[in-house]
Amino acid sequence: VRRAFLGGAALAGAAAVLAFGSPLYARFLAAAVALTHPGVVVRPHGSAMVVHAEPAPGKVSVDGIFWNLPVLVCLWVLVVGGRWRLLTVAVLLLGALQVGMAHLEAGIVLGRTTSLRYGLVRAWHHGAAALLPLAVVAWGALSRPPRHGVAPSEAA
Amino acid sequence: VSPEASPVGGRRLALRFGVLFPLLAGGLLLAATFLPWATAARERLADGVAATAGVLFPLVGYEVRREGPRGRILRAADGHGVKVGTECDALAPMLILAAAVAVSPVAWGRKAAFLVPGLVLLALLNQVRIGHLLWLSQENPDLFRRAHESWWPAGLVLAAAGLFLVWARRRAAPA
Repeated sequence: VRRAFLGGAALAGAAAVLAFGSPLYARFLAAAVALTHPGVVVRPHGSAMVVHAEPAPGKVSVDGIFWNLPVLVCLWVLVVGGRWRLLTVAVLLLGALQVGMAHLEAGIVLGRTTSLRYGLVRAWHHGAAALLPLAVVAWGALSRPPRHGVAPSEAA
Repeated sequence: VSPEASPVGGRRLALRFGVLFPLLAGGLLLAATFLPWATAARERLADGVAATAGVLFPLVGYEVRREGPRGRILRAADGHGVKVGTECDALAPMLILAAAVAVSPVAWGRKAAFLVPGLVLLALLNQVRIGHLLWLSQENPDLFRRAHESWWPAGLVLAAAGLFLVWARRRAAPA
């Protein structure tokens, strides 16, 4: 019952973050990208960041970047159901990767495109974004130390 | 694949899964994204996705016609439409599911017996996604982008993970 409740709550939480969280996250990413692109104005606009580039401003969609964060948390609650410090580290690392991806996409909007930058963005959108939370959850679940102690049946 | 199933062998198998799954899935995804022959194959796959939608949607009462040089633009009766791109093939969640099943310590027959219907299920869910996005592009264009870029990618990945977890916990047995 506890697991079903946790699972339902995790799915509802992930759905709520996916539905309503991207405009808020756009503010965070815009602030982070403004730091990494000094001299360029980056503003949140709904669930997008507007990068004020010449000759015209361009938009970077935050939805395509942030969606795997709620997936990670939801799957972690469902599958691992503990090791919260490790989850916090994983969330922070994934957040840092998302800032890096937003930085790369802002660079492309600004015309600073290289094959490596383009390749990294392409790899993110074509599978890395999907694989990362699953790989982290698999590691979180499978690297759990075995439970110690004696089962009641064995003690008898 | 639970590390607690057997204290020694189970843990070794679980760690093997934890290493091999990201390696195989990552390799498959990189190949599908960057190898020229794979990108050409994905173009044909996207053609197939659009053709399947053109057949399936009228069966559930949603009349669409295919337009464009490769028939990849799906247009509803009232004129609005969406284009099926190569990234609309749901290949990423499919390859992730295939990699997770492939490295599981289960007999190959059992793997195939789950993987084939599992991939078909994901392909059908992808058709639901395309139909929903086509509908949304007319009914609520503001939500279209968020559904396209965030809700459905998350939904497909969660569906692939859920399918695997259900299979791994209820059906699989060590080979």
